[in-house]
Amino acid sequence: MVADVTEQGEAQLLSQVVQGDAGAFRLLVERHSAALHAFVFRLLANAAESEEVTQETFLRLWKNAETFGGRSTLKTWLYRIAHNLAIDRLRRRRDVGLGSNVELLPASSCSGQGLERERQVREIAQAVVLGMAKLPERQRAALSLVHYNEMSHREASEVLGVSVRALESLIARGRENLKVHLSPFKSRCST
Amino acid sequence: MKHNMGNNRIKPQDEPSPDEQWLDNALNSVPDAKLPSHLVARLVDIPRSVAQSIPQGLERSKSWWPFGSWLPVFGWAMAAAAGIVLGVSGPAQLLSIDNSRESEVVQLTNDTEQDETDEWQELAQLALDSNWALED
Repeated sequence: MVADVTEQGEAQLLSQVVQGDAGAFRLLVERHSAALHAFVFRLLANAAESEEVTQETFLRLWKNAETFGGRSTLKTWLYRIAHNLAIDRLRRRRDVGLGSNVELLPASSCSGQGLERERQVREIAQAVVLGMAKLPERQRAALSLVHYNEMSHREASEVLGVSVRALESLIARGRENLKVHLSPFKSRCST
Repeated sequence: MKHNMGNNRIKPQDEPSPDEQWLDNALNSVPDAKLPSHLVARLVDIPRSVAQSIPQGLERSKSWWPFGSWLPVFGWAMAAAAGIVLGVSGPAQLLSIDNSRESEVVQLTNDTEQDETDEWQELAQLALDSNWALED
């Protein structure tokens, strides 16, 4: 119900954007830009390119809002644009750089006290970033959309242009690959 | 922005294994990249930037347009006006130049023929005069 209200509101905002309403565009930017940018950053692991892709995505929204057919939600449409742009970037540079400006927040990933615990969490977070960067592009995107961007499997499958079944397979394989990558940290933190 | 995967992820049928829970916690230890404030400003500014880019696009046409006009039609009008003023290619001249040249050539030929006729007439007259003179 809440999602329906939001979608109706977005449809209204989008129709205003088609009419050239910069205020409506601003509201859509405020609503989607942070999560979209975070998603792109997880795919590219590069601050400058993430900003460029985010900007290009919203530029396309402003210029091509009238082409939105309504077959999906505005959110999945935006993420699909961003994903395609990011994949283009990744194909141009196979060598994936890591984002150096990722700030780590304390989380209860493993036991420990004070600074030692913080150090362990930081190490694990860095390892997760490394592991995500090493995943195949589609596994990384699937994990990011569902885990971090709170998308349902149906929404994420629309963004990636695959079936729900294929998406679930991507997520399962991505998680298995990450577990392998993080296994050294797991044994350390478990003790 | 920080998502709690444990609550947001599609719930599996069974209780997640310790391995899965550990992985979820590990994933949650990575915060989202912060949205830079300068990027927000750029995004919000997109409508104005696009609006400004239209005259900028036309501005680019100045570089290849030799008449210094930002509108090609206006440039053509300027070129035509300049041609007329300089007398190089006025519309009437452009349309009649061949005919006028042709009539000019024809006119010259007539004059020549007329001149030659006059000369023959003079020679004939001289000859007649001289014959008459001889006869005399």
